[in-house]
This record gives sequence, structure tokens and C-alpha cells, in this order.
Amino acid sequence: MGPPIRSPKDASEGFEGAIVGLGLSDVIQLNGQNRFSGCITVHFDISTGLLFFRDGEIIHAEQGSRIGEQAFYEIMQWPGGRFSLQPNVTTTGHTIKRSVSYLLMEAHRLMDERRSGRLETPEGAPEEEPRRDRAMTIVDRIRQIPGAAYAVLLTKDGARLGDDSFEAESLEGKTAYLAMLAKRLGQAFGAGEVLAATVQGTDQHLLLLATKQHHLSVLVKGESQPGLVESEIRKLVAAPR
Amino acid sequence: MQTLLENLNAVPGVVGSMICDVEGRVVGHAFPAEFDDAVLAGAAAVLADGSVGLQTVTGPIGLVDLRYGAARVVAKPLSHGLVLLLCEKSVNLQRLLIEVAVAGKRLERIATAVEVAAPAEPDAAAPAEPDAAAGDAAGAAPESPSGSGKPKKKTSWWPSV
Repeated sequence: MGPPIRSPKDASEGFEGAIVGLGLSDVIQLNGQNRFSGCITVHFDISTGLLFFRDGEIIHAEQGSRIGEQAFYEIMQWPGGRFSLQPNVTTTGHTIKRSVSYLLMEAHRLMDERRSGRLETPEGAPEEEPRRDRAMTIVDRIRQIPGAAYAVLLTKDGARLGDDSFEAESLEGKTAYLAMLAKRLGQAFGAGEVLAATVQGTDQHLLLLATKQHHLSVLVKGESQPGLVESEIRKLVAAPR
Repeated sequence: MQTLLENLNAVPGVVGSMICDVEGRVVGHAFPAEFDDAVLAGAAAVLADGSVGLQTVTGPIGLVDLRYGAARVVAKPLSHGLVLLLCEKSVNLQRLLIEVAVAGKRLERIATAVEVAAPAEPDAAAPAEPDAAAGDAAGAAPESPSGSGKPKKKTSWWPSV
């Protein structure tokens, strides 16, 4: 594993690193032994997975549209990636009841079966969409809007499109978290599908706009009005090319 | 507290409102009967859990505004909890926030009093609270203990902004 990489903003909240050379199962075992409570966000290629721990036990996992053990096993079969730890981040989801040891053994059993061809390989990365180039052009233009600190485009499964930068990776994880929160609250109230979510903070604001296929996530500078940035984005998206 | 919440509900487009404490427990609510205690407790817990992660991104949170196909959910932090409002899509957010600000100080007194009073018997049924504003701080207690459960570990909460 490479040396921990610290983001200046998030330095106090956790750490980030690569998993090359150290299997994800090792990271999970270490955190299980240390009775870790919090969230591990795992990034591989354009996919993101979330593993929630409570007192060293995995209580919930999400990957794209999968949750629970299926999400966990999907994440476990990724050959590498990057992870970030957020201690003390909790979830109300409790989709996993089994012990860490059982989950790891089952994950390795499934991986062995896949290697030997007894199981089909799970779905690969989402197919590239025909309008992706146009979408990425819009994202580039959104980043030029005054007040927009960064923007990233994700599929609704949480896969990031066309940007491998550290900023995009970081924003991807934050977006997944906000989307999950909004989805759960919407389900609780029967409010329907998430159209937009805004979190206004003193340091910066997080803006999530949903389309049929994508989530557009924009980090807005703290001194700017997220509502104004949103209306600029909507104008830009609606403008004829 | 009920009066304050009902005043918020009087804003056109507001369906229901509730106050949650720092642990994500419902302190009081004015929601239509179809939203039972379990639904409200679940929503409060989701928001409380999610807030910790979100504020690592944004810093202390001033407002959460979630827009859905059929509704809008607005949450405004207090110094010891938050007020959550379920609204119709068409709600005038600016007007709503003004009403929340007007009620905010009194709501914060209630939340503070509850946090001081609650830990002794978190699951005990609380008596109905009188509407008198003067009794807000002294008489406040959790109204919906069903969603409380064991206190969760939490390292921080939304400071008021």
C-alpha cells in the first residue's frame, strides 16, 4: 500500500490510500480487529462502493444499485483500487448480519468459483453512453461558472464519467453519500425520485442535480449562492448547442 | 412546541414539521396521521446519521434542501438538533425559511432543554407538553420515544449557522 494520501480539507476526518499490494480483505480484517466504526469508500475504475462498519462488524454495503451482501461481494472481487476511511460515519441501513470472517470467506469462495468459470462474471462497467461526449463538454462548461469549485458527472449507479482526477474521485464519494441520504429520506416520506439536493455549509456547498441517467454533482464555493449556480447550470444545459 | 410547529405548518405548502435532537430522536412533531412514529423516527435517524458525513464536505451545515418528484424536504440545523419540514413541491422556500428563523430561537430553547432533561429515562413516555411558550424550555421532553433506541456514537453535530 502506498503512503496515506491526505487531502488538506479532509485531513482530520480520515485517510486515503491505495490498495495495490494490500488486498481489500486485509484492510477489512485490520479494521475489524481494530473495531472500526465508520465508512470505507472504495473506488475502482469508475465504480464506487461503500462499506459501513460498526464496532468492527460490517453492517451495510452499497455498490451501484446493489446493497447488502451482494454489494459486498461485488466490491470484493475488484482487483484493485483506492479507498478512503471516514471514522464515525454511520448509517441506518443494516443489510448485513453476518460476521466479517464469514463475509470474507464467502467472498473468496465466490471469487474462486468465478475464476474457475462456475459463476458468471458480474456485470462489467456500464456501457459508454452515446451522448457521453456532449455530457462531458457540459461538465467542462459548468466548471467555468462563477462559484462552481468543481463538477463531476456520475451514472445513477455512482460510476464516474470521464474524469480520473483526485478532485473528481473525492467529489464522487461525497455525491454517493448525499444521493444515498436523499434517497432514504425520500423513501421514508414517499416523496418520489430525487430531483435535486443541496447542502449549504459555511465552507462550501454541495449541489446534486439528477437527470434520467446521470447525477451531476457540483461543489460550490462557500461565498457563492448555490441557487444562483444551479440556475446558471440549468441555463447552460437548456441552451441549444 | 406544538404551536410553533403548527405555525410552520401554516406556511402554504408545508405538510408537516418535526424537531429532532442531536441523536436523531424525534422531540416533537406536527405531521398528519399517515406519517406514523416509525416513519418519522426513521427519517430523523437517517438525517442525523447522514449529517456527520456531509459536514466533513461542507463544514457546519446551514441548510439541507432535498427536492423530489412529489415533495420537498427541508432541514435546518439548530444548535442542539434540527427542524425538518416536509413540503409540497410548490412551497416558497424563502418564505418558509423566514418562518423557521422566526421560530428558531424558541425551537432552540426547546431542543436545549430536551437534551438536558432526556438522558435520565430516554425510553420513558413523556407527558403532552403545554402550548404555552413560557413552558417550552422547562416542559419539553421527547414526544416520540419509539425511534430512540440505544444512543448512537456521534462525534459531532451541526452547529447552528
